[in-house]
Amino acid sequence: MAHRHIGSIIKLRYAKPGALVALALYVLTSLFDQGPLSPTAARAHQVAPNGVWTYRYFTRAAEGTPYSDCNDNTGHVDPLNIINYYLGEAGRMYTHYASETHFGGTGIGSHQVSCITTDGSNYTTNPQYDQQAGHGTISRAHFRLFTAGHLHEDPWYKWSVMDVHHEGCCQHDPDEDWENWEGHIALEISWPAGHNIYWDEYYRQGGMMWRGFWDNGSVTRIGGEHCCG
Amino acid sequence: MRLRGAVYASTLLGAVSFILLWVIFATAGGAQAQRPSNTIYELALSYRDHGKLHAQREWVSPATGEWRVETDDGVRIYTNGRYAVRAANGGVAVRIGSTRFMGYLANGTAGEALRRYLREGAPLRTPRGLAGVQVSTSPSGLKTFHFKRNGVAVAAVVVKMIALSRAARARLFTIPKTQVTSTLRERSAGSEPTLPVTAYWFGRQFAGRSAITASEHAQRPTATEQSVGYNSGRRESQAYVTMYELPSAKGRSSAIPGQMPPRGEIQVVSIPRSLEIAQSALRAFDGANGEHRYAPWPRHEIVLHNGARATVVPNISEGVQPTPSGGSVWQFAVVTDTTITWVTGGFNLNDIPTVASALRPIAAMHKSQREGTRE
Repeated sequence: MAHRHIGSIIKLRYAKPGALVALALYVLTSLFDQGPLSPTAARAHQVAPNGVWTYRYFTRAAEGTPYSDCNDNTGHVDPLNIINYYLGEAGRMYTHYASETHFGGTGIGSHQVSCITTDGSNYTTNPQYDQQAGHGTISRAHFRLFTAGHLHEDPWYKWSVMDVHHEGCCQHDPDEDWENWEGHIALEISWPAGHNIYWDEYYRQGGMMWRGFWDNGSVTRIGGEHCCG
Repeated sequence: MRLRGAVYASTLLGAVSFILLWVIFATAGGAQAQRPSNTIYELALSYRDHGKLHAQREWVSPATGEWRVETDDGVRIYTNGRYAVRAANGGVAVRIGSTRFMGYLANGTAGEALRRYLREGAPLRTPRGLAGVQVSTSPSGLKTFHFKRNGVAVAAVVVKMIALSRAARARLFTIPKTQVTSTLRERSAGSEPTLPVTAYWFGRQFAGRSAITASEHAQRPTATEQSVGYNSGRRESQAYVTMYELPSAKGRSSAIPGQMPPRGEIQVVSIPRSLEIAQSALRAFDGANGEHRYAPWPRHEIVLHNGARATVVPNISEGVQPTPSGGSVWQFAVVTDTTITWVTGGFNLNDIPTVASALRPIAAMHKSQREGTRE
């Protein structure tokens, strides 16, 4: 089977005590055994050296609510199905979406947080940068934009993430598959503005039904520059 | 004879009274006079938000519950157990299933206000999700419903009343099947897949939970998606989903629009390994995810309930949640020769091989049931 081509299949003995320690040690030792990560990945810092993503896939309700504990892998709200990268700094991309798509406006939905880590250990909360809505009001498309949560000196490697979705009345619940508007916003900003698109470029988790609608668990990458118009 | 005459007279009087009363009630008031069974209401909706005026056209059949909404960005139709969205990118997404599976989608924007008006007359009490519905009539006789949705004041003018037969000819509630690019179809739990996927599940009962519903999701990239960007093949999907819920869920499920997953929910999702999205998952398990490279995720060889060999891979993309019993993850994958099956719900690492081993193909279970053998 294709997934066996990597050197050795790890025989984790879950029944034995200390399996978690073994797992962590394996990941770390494997990392050092295989040498440094690719320069691109390291500079963008989307995946920590131990293989853990530096942001959780789901947003949480705003800080101060029972769901805001990022270290507890519960309280999921929206999947972060878009990553803006390269040149994907939050403020810059916010302007691009406002001027190059049918989204806009501020202060139009509840406040949420993303969950971030820099070293792959503890996740902490990261307030949303801002949000935009479009394509109607009673039922509408909506996204929240989050910064990476850590600094990148080189603008090329800056990135941000978004939870793009469409929602009906009256409780801001989704009314279409999560994939629909992940695709829609990517198409809107790809033409005529010319941002490049890598459909479902990053695997985060397997597909599932979430809040009544399908999400394939992968993240589409939208480039920050006008490269391809 | 006299008695028979009296009975005849009183019967006749009663019938005439009934007819008179029916005529009086049937002709009293504009919209109330319409027989909802054969009338479609065409409504012009307008609302202002963030200083911008929005408009949409909505057609509602109070008798059947069907509706159609048209905006600048697309069309939405609800008809006969189907909810369809025709988006601006050229794709049509359809959701098919019971009223329960539709959740709040079954209501259009103005349909609830209109139905309540026809049933109860104005002024209306405040129904759930609507606030202060009022009805006004212009000098020319046009009725307007005023209500709030999502905190936004909406005015819905009854522009036209259309006979059902004419609406059918205009194909108001017809979904263009040939343009469908995405389908989400409700299935009864344990029913054999109609998509080309070997679907796995745990059987009807598992760990105190019941398989309460299932669904199939199929998606293909729209022509526009295919013409733009890279990896458009990853927009293709064929998935079979089974939802397991505890009794405490009381009918709730994250398969239903607007519902968060009840405590203890487990989802089992199978997709063919041949799909590009599945291949990208396998590469991620092996440490290649986009341009990122990392150590392969730990995995474990297991034997499934039906004797098939499989590899189980816990999703450690967000680390391992510390627990007294050695850590947990939210999801794990089970990879067979034909299928990737994801099981989501929160599992101790120690328990995952045992849990995964209980998976079995849905079709195989049916065969064993037919043969009267043990599951």
